[in-house]
Amino acid sequence: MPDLDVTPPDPLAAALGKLVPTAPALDRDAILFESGRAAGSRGLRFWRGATLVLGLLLVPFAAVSLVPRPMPEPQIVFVERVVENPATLPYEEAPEASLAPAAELIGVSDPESLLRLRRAVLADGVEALPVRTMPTSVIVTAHSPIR
Amino acid sequence: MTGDQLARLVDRHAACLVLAARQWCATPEDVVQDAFVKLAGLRTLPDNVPAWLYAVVRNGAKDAARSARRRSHHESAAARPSDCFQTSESAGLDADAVAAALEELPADVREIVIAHLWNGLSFADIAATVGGSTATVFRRYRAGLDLLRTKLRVPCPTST
Repeated sequence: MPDLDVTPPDPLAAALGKLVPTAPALDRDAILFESGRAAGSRGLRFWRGATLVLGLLLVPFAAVSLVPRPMPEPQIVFVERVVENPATLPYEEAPEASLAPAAELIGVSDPESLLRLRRAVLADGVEALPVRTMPTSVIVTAHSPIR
Repeated sequence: MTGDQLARLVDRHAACLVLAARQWCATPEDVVQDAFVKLAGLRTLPDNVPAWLYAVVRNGAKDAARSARRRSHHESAAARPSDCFQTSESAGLDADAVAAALEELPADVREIVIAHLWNGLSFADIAATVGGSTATVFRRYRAGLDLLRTKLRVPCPTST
């Protein structure tokens, strides 16, 4: 199809085209100002819209946090436990006080002797302890050379 | 778009767009100003800026005319024909006579003649804006020129 825009020029069309339309009562500066203001308000609208959307999203969370939730009631749990109460045990004679095993090692047979020995050790030191004969396989002296 | 680019577009196209908007509404300057503000707000410029502006002005002018009709219950008054052109004569043509002859054209023909002759739109652009085929738009344009030739009593060009 031939390009209709490139048709032989019509003299009437050429003459009509030379007529200049009346300059409009447009203020170019006003157009520039309005364009700038519209661009600024567009940016503001975006942030206002974003704020509104985020605010709406936060409403349910705020509602949940502000509504007082009932505190859970403390539950008392009874647990059966067997505890031996010495006071309830049948009366038993206290066992005889026995000497500590260490006292037996140093050859003390009675508590009175133990007390005497204790006083002696407190006064004179460990030298007051009696020397007992022990099996040679057990005794290791400090002065024996190590072979 | 920078301020300088917008200013150049205003200087170049505003007068012709106002001429086009006058066909439909009584406030063509407001419609054209809105169109330029919308253009400035676009992130990317359209490929064909004059065609885009013409389409926006056309739609805006028709909307303004509808609003005016609803408000006043009267037909919206377009601009007086004598206000259309600032030059009084061109190649033997009287500007007022041309304006009056344009006023008498059918609306669809007048729109095509103004869009092509003064707004510089191609027939394809006009067809895309007003609807219809390019061939139909061209036929209406030729019919418009013939009508103007008759009204202005301009002799037909001699065929070669």
